[in-house]
Amino acid sequence: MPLIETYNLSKRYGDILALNNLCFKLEEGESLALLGRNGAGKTTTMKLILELIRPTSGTIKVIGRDHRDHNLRREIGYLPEEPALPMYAKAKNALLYYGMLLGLDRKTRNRRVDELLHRMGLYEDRNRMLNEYSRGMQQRVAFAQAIIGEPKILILDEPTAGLDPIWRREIRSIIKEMTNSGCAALISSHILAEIELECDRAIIIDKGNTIKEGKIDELISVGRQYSVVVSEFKRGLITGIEKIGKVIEIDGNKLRIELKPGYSPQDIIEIVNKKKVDIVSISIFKVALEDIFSELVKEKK
Amino acid sequence: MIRFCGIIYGYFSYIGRRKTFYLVLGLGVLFVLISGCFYSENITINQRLIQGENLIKVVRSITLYLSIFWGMILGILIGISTATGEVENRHIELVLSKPITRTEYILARLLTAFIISFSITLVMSIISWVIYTLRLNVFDLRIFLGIGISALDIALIVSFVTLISLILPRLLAGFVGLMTYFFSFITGIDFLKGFVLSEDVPTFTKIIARIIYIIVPPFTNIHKIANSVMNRDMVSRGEFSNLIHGVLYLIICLFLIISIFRRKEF
Repeated sequence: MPLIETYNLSKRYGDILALNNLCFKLEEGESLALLGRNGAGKTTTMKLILELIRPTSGTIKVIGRDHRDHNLRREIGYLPEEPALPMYAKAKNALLYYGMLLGLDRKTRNRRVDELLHRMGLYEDRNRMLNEYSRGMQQRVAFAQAIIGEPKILILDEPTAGLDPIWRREIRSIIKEMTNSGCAALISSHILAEIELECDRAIIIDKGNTIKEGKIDELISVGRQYSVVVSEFKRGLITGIEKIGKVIEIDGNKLRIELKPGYSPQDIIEIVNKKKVDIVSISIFKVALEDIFSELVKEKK
Repeated sequence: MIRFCGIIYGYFSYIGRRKTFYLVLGLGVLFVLISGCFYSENITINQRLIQGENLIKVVRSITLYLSIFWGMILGILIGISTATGEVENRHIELVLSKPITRTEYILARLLTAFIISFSITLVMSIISWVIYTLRLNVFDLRIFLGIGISALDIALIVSFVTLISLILPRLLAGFVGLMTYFFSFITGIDFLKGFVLSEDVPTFTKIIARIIYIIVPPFTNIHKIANSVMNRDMVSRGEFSNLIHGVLYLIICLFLIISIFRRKEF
């Protein structure tokens, strides 16, 4: 059963259409990235799921139930983009407070808070006020409050913002651990390299409209393009290859080839072998998610 | 229940860190202490010597007025952040992402604001009570009956200011709350009420006056009932209707606060 389902979800602020007919499903153990420029509608989507704002039209189901059932939020861990923590509180007390808001009993609350303070490397500083914490430490507290109730769904808006590379990796590994144990994650981030590592699927939205959706692997493998590394480059290779496709780029012994429909990588191997040249490697050509994202957003413009 | 207590705990911690709260509290205690210095077994008011039961009545009334006044000021101060404090700093996003209904949230916050304001009123009346018990050498607990009735006043000012803060900016809401409190002194004046209700006054003026009496929260009138009950004075049926007016006003305020807050987007 999908943990989150949205059907034709739209949100309008006056004349501005912040989100237009967004449809997606988030399955158990899956991590889905919401990508888009500032104001694309990512945070709006997250707030709609949490009922912080109401949709203009469309429906949202969380664990098969209407998202307005407040008890469902027991199963959701949310980390906003700029988490406003109670700065007047000590880190430990702040986490205990969030534990109370989740309805955890005293024993569970204390156990979870201690576990998380250790995991987030904050145990030694647990009795310091949050306003004495660095930005990165505050972000770790904010992340800890999102997972304190061991939720089934994580909604994370820029989860690694303000963190150093070591803590970014740690947060990624926690998210991975949770998704491996069946938790679903909806993540928004501007660090697209991280999304490539963290997420299984992505939805690219721009000005509220979905412009591309799919598995990360599929998104970053452009059409039918292949990277072929040959033992030596010969001019005749290009003439042969142009019968089955198009050479897009030549970089020393490395060729980037786009195949015409009906041809397969096997045809490349045959043509290259005919020219008495060996193939060192052949692989699907992949580009960085960042390039795909820029390209799609540019096209849309 | 744990969640409800969680909200109360959170708001207590928030108010406990505010310097303005301690400033007003300190000023209040100072006033109560200073007024205590004037308590003696012979007080003269308008060249008349007040003694015996009358003296205790006067002292009780002063204590009640002073304690309630500072309780009301604190109620205004706390009321302006009850609904909107966490909205402005966006902490509300984290809080409402937890399994809490908006009604639970706002009721818990209102209850906290009331408990704090009323506790402060109670503390001030206790300080004052200790002073006059020692100085006048009497043991009289009736002041606490008056303070108990005035709890409605505190609940009313907290709810009223919270409601206004959902409509207007916080500072302006505090100002409106303060002005309404002072204005209620005017609507609570008996001779003014008698003038408005007299037959010589045109019907239109009467209607306007009645509307004003209904719109302005009956802070002073509730206060007067508390004073009368505390001092065993006669309480007329009209005065009791002010108590009902106060309770209805409180219910309407709570209903409006919940309705507006539930519709808010964060």
